[in-house]
Amino acid sequence: MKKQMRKKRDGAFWLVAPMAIWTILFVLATLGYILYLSFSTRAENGMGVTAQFTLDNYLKILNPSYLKVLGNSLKLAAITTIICLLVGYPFGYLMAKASPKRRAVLMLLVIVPFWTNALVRVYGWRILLMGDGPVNTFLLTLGVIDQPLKLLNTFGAVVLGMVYALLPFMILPTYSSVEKMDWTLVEASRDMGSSPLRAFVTVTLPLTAPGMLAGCVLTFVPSIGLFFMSDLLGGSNDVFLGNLINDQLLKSRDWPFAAALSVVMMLLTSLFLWIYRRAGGKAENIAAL
Amino acid sequence: MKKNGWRSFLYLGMVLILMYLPIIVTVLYSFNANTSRFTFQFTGFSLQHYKALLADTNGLLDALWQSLQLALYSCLISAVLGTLGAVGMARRKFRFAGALEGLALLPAMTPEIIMAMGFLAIFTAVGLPFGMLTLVLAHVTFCVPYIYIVVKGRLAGMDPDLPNAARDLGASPMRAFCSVTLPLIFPGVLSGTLLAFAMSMDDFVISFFVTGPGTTTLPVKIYSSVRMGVSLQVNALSTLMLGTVFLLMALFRLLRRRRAVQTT
Amino acid sequence: MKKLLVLLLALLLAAAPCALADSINIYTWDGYFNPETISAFTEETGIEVNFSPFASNEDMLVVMENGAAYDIVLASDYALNILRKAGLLQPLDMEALTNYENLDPAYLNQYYDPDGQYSIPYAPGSPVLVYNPELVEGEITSFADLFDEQFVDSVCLLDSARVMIGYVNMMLGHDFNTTDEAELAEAAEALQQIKPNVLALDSNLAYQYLLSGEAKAAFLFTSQAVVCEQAMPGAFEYVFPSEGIGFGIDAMVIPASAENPEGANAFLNYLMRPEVAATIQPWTMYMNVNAAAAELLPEGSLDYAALNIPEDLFATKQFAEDLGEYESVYQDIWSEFKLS
Repeated sequence: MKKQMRKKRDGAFWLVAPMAIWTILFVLATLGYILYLSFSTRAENGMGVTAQFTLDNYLKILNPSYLKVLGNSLKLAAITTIICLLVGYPFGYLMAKASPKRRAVLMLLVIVPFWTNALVRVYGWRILLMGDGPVNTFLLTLGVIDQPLKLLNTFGAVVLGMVYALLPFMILPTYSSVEKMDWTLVEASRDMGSSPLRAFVTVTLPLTAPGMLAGCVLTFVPSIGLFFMSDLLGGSNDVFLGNLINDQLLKSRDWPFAAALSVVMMLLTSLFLWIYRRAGGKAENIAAL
Repeated sequence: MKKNGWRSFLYLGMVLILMYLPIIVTVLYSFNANTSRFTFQFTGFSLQHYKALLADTNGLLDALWQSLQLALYSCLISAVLGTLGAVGMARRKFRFAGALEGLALLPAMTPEIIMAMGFLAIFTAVGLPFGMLTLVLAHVTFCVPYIYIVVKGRLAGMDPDLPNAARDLGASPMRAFCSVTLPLIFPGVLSGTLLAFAMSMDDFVISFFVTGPGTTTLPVKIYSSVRMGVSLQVNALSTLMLGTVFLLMALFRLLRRRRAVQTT
Repeated sequence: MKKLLVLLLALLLAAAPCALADSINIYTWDGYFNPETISAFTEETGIEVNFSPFASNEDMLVVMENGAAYDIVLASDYALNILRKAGLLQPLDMEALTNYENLDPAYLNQYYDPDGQYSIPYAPGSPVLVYNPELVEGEITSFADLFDEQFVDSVCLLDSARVMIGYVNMMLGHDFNTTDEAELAEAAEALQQIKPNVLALDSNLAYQYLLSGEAKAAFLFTSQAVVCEQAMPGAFEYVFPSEGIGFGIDAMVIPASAENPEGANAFLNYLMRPEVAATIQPWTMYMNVNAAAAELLPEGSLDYAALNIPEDLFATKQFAEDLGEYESVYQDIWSEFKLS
């Protein structure tokens, strides 16, 4: 076979080598250090670690309140992902059906908010959601409410912040999967007498499922780690995994425990990715933007 | 489908309005006349924050410059690494391909603070001077996966025999890559790089731990000013950046339209 | 390809700023120094001042423990104490610090620097309880008053385990920094009772809730309270809880790793000049540490409630001292409080 013959001189090895070396140097080394930390003992004077092997850091996670934090984070991530899907899928779908010229504009409009600093954007939301802020004022003038609503410092505000930060990661993959879709299949289904809804459910939805799943991964995974939304929009009234890791590392100065929590978080997200791959998704779909 | 046009327009418009609400607030507040250090009340219209920004009393422009440099270096290096990696992986099935891919994706699944601690410890152990170099090393590491995935996605839709055909016609491997593969995957390279650029420009946690004297990036600057009050100059800067992006977009479209008119 | 990489790396290395012969690097929060004070120093001495900002004491500690080289670190007392105990500081050059005697002895030789060898105080203060008298029934004088039913969902506390649990400790008659298990359990239980009243835990933006009327009472750090009083004189009441106060001092130290200790000492000495110190307090809006500068301060600089702690409370002030591994106990109580 020609392909077989070319194998030796296709240069693939040299193409992959730089990335492989880089990844091994920096990611493997970092991961190794984190694993080392997670099995170490906290130093006597409360600074850094001593190289004494222990499993205590992992056992400590079984404490009910830490498990509650874990549950909290998974709940928030799941809610965020579902809302992103409900809002983002139709957006991606409609975007793909727009004229090519309009598509480019829409794509840009979705990406551009990322150009402003994340903190500044969240400050913007704070101003909007304040007790005497524009949203409340608007609702009061409309007469929808007669008392300012408590919008800020609620779980809802945290979800809003998360959805806001992650929505583009849902929109872009669903957009690209709808855009690539073979519309003749939908037409065929319609010709055979299916209603538009039935055609959508039986043809479009399965065909765009990879993009949808990719979007779910891209929103779910980061939403486990995002921590400043809860501080800035939720009034720190709840604890999520990202906050816990930050506090354990910086405030409690318990590096080994923070490392163990991170390893668990990595395992959780890897598990999620594994399920996703088993479900038929491929790495390409994850960010086929 | 046409009859639903206005409905889809309405939906897209509503979501976009929601996406731009906080941005509008940011822009509006950049014109706030209120000068007190901690403030959120709008007291009147003024350009003073723009004046102060352009006089660079806060060092924000310098920080922006550092951030742009950093993002540019990181994007260039990670675009090369990620693109070549994706092309190479697509050519042959490597034995450890899955492991390498998983490893390369890991930075995206690790809490930033832990990644940052890891980088800090490793760079210290090796004795690298903290500054632009360490910043670029760290940023490339978390940018590569995004470019790799996007380019790989693009390659998946490509006929693998195209570069081979070029080779059979006598093109050197380099030539086959540059004149066949690269143009085909370029949209992927570009969108991956733009994504990486945005990630690099907005990163605070990792940047903070691997930076050194003299290289303060914009996010590091902004987050560390929270205690003394984030200046509205930051809003002015954001407004100018947004304005520039939209202006460039408009120019680009105008140029394209003109070219289209000329060719037809 | 590899050559290109090597070339790029070499370029980056070359681009790294080489230390100027006469410059100092200061590590602190962004915006903590008056730019005019700094430029006057550079003009006079020719020493260039570079700033590297950090967002929190905790971030700074991690970086310093990894051996970063800064000439001056300006941070909070407990963090400096950790640096001192770890041997990461160098003694000040007292002979060069001819202006040291200008400092107010009330802020010298504190627990984080008992022999006054390592630090120059910069900005002291205590969190102050601010409330809106129009929304609150009766007078508020103590931390215990915040447990009242009238405050349901309208109290803003600092998001600081050590300071807030410290106040609960004092309210219960215990030490601010207690490590006694039974006492801490009691504090954790008391905290649960204030939970229904808590609107938000926020160390940076709590004043926004006071201004919007969502919070009836909030703990504010010194400079935030001063800004509030400046912006809306007479709108709020400012009290120091009668149980006692948790005090803090931000101070400047020279790390052992400093590359230009002479420059650093010269800078510290410059800052202690009365006429220079008089430009610092109006900028930081914390208490004034320089006794000789007191008369030179602009009229009214110190006339804010947050800067005038009653003498009896000041005498019993407590610091949130570093508690080593007991920090975890405090953090866990705080997490539990948030989760409940």
